[in-house]
Formats: sequence, C-alpha cells, structure tokens
Amino acid sequence: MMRFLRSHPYAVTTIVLLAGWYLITRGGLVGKSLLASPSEVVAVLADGFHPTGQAKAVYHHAWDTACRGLAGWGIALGLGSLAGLVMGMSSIIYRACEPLVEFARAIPPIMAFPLLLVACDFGPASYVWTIAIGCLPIMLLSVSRGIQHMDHARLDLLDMHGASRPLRIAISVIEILPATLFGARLTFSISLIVTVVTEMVFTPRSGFALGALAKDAQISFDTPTFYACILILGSYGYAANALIRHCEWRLSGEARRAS
Amino acid sequence: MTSHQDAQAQIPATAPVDGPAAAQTFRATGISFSYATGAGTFAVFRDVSLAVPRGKTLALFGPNGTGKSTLMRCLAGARVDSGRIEAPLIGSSRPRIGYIPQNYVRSFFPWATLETNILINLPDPVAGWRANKAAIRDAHDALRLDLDLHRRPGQCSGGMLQQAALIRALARRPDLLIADEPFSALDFDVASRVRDGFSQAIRDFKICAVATLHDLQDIIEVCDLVLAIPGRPYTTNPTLASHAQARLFENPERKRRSQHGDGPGESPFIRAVSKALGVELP
Repeated sequence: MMRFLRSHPYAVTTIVLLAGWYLITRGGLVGKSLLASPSEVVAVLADGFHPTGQAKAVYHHAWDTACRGLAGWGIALGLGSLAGLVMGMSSIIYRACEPLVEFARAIPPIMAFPLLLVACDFGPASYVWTIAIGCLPIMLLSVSRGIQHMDHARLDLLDMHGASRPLRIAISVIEILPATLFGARLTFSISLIVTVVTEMVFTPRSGFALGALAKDAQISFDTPTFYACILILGSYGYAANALIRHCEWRLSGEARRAS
Repeated sequence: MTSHQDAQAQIPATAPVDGPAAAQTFRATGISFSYATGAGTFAVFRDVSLAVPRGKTLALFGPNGTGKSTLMRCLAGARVDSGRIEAPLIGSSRPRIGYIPQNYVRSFFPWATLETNILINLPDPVAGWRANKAAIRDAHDALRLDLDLHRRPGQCSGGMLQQAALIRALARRPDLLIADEPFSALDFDVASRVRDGFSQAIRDFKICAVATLHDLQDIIEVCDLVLAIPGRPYTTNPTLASHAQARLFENPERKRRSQHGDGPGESPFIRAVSKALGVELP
C-alpha cells in the first residue's frame, strides 16, 4: 500500500480532496447552494449516460465545447508553430514582431469576439477564431524562444557532414518539438478558459456549450450540474496535459533513461 | 637527447610532396584566423601551413587555450581570414569530412538511438540505409569496440558516447578526419584497443587525419606527425618572429614504442617535442 502511495502520490491528494469534500457537505459546513455533494455531482454525470437524462445531458454540451476548443487550439498550434519558426530563425523578424505579440498577449481574446461576429457571423467560426487568437501569441513565443535556445552543436555537426537541406529541416523540426509541446501544454488550458468564458458571455446558437450550461446552472442554483461542468473541464485539462507530457517524456529519452 | 636528434625529428611544416602523392595530401597553406571583440581584434594563428598525406595522422599538441580546436574547425571548413585549404577527394565534388567534436556529448540527438544518430550523419541516410548500416558495422569492428548501438545517448556514459562519436566519424569513410581529443574519455583497456584500431583504420581507409591530443601515449601510438604549438598567436612561418613558432615533427617512434614499451619521457621524439614547448619531462 505504502509503495503504491509512494509511486502514485497524486492518489493521496485526490483521496484527501474527495474525503474533505464529502465531509464538508455531509456535515453541512457549506450551504447546498454553494457546494454540491460528491454523490449529487456523480448523479448528474451518470444521468448524462441515461437515454432519458436529456435535461442534464452534460456530455452533449461537453462534446460541443471540446470540439470548439480543440479546433481553436489546433489552429493556434499550426499557425503559431509556423510563425514561431519564422520568428525564431531570424533575430530581425523576432525583434520586429515581439512587441506586437506582447501587445496582443495582453488583450483578452473575448474582446475580439464582436469583431469576429462581424467577419464570421454568429456561427462556430467566430468561437473557434476567438480561441485561436487567445492561444496564438503564447504558442508563437514558445516556439520562437525554443528555436533561439536550441542547442546548435548537433545541427552544426550535420552541416559540417554535408547534410541535405530536407534532412536538416526535418531534424530541426524534431529538435524544436520540445518547445512546441511545451507551448501546446500551456495553450491547451488557455484554450479551455477562452472557450468557456466565450460560451458564458455569448451562448452559441446551437445552445450546446459547457460554459453556457455552467452559467445557467449557477443562475438557477443547480450546483450539482455546475460542479459537474467543473469536473469535466478539469478532466479535459488533466488528460491533455498527461498526453502531451508523455510525448515530451518519450521525445527527451527520459523513458529509457529512467529504466 | 641531443640536438642532432632534435634536428632529425623536426621537419618543415610544409614538407614538399610532389607528383601523384600531392593529390593524395590534405594541405593548408598560409591560413590565418582572428576574432574581433569589443576590446579589439585578436589573432589566434597566422600563416599556418601544414600537409597531411592520406593514411597519416597529424596531432596538434600544446597547452590549453592556444587555439588548437579553432585550427581544427578551420581545417574542417569554418571561415579563415586568409589562406587556402586543399583536400583530396574520393570522387565527390566536396571533400567528405568526419568530425569528432571536443564536446561530443552535445553532438548526439537525445531522442534517437546511437545507431540512428550515426545514420543521420552518413551520406544518403535514407537511400543508402543498408550500405550505411554495413559501414557502421565496419567502423565498429575496425575500432575493435563492443558497443550496443541500440542505446539512447541518455543511457550511455561519456566514454560510450565518445566511442559512438569515433564510429560516426569513421563510418562516413571521410577524406579528412578531424578529431578533437578523441580518446579523452576512454578507459585504459578500451583506449589501447581503440588507438590500435584507429591508426589501422586511418591507414586502411586512406584517410587524412588531424587530431588534438593531450596524452603522450596517444601521440606515440597513433600519430605520424605532430605539430607542437607552444603559445598564441602561433605560426609555422619562421620569418614571423613576433609569433609563437609551431613546429612539425615526424614520429619515428611509433613502431618502436609499440614493440619495446618505453615510458613517454624516454622517447627522443617526445623529448624533442617537449623541448619545443618548453616542458620538462621527468
């Protein structure tokens, strides 16, 4: 048992948190309108699997939110990596663009939403581009700084050995993957935040959105649904972080080093 | 050690090589290198000339900070202020270079196995995959190594990585091999085997080799020529009196040393080189 806890310390924090949550709600230390009990939240999540649990079909909302978030995040990942590559390879372009990127980073992406409504109408595109705009500066800076701080000794050796241009580009792309994955990890949580905030402020036409569901649940004191939304969002963030971390781990050779 | 023996060991830096042998010689003529800082321009070497025939190894020997690695990088194709470098060719339009950097640990991609790291650095890594695998095996065997090339760099010691760096350079079948302290991390047993294998491979593959070495044992057993560099800025041009005079020596002791096993200090050749550097040997 102790060995398991030592190798999985997060299990302890999870168990302590759940036990504390249960005891607080069970003992009535916090009102039901503020904090739902774990069993109530589980009931909401289980109801989502039930064919007649349509009223609280949180998973439908969760799916639509995930699609919007992933689409925006994917665009930011692609565009940010390409633009970061260009910025990182030329110090002149980097110095020319960095102030603009830092300026854009300070602007909440939701402020761009009305403009995007004009450009894309009240459709999914405006949400997706809002998320992409929110993630783009971080992705761009991560990749460009990753390139600047890359260890050039290995690539210099390739040059000295007369490596072809396509091979050099392919190797450079692999070499900047750690910086790209780091940026991806940072921006995934940002994409979730932007998605939910945008959905809370501007409910999509389809009506299915985790942010909108959470807002409605909060207004109507439906705390179990509200906390179910929080749990789903947290799970998204945890799963994506674990997946990207695993990729980073494999890439750096840590997996074999540890064995 | 007599002055007569000194004179026998020392040879002109650009000993004339004529006829077909000239085309088989790596030659640097009058090369100079300096670098600029905020405080001014600093010369590392000026008017350095040297020639290395195919199948021979030239050692650069001298104290730290004299610019041996800089000279190596210049010989490998980095920018020089002036001078000319001519390399023999196997058949391609550019000389094929094999380079063993001083900081070999940083020269490996951590995400790939040692074998993949070597394959990436070979000509035609995709099309010539099968031939390259055979070249790696040949280089591995020529160096008399027993290295597991399926490990990742993170799983290897410094010595193992240095062995892999040696294989990587030799597997390229280079026209010119530049090795910056190639045996510095090897243990005694491996080093003695690798030294033998290395000098044999240089002869068999007819490579022009230039190596920076700090160990007299390495020099005696591996090198045919030694450029003794006493200070900085240095030159091989005797008319530049203001510069430290780098002098070229032939190593007639290599075969004899391997047969008799004398200590480095007893070798007239080593005594001559040490005297040129102003170093007292026990």
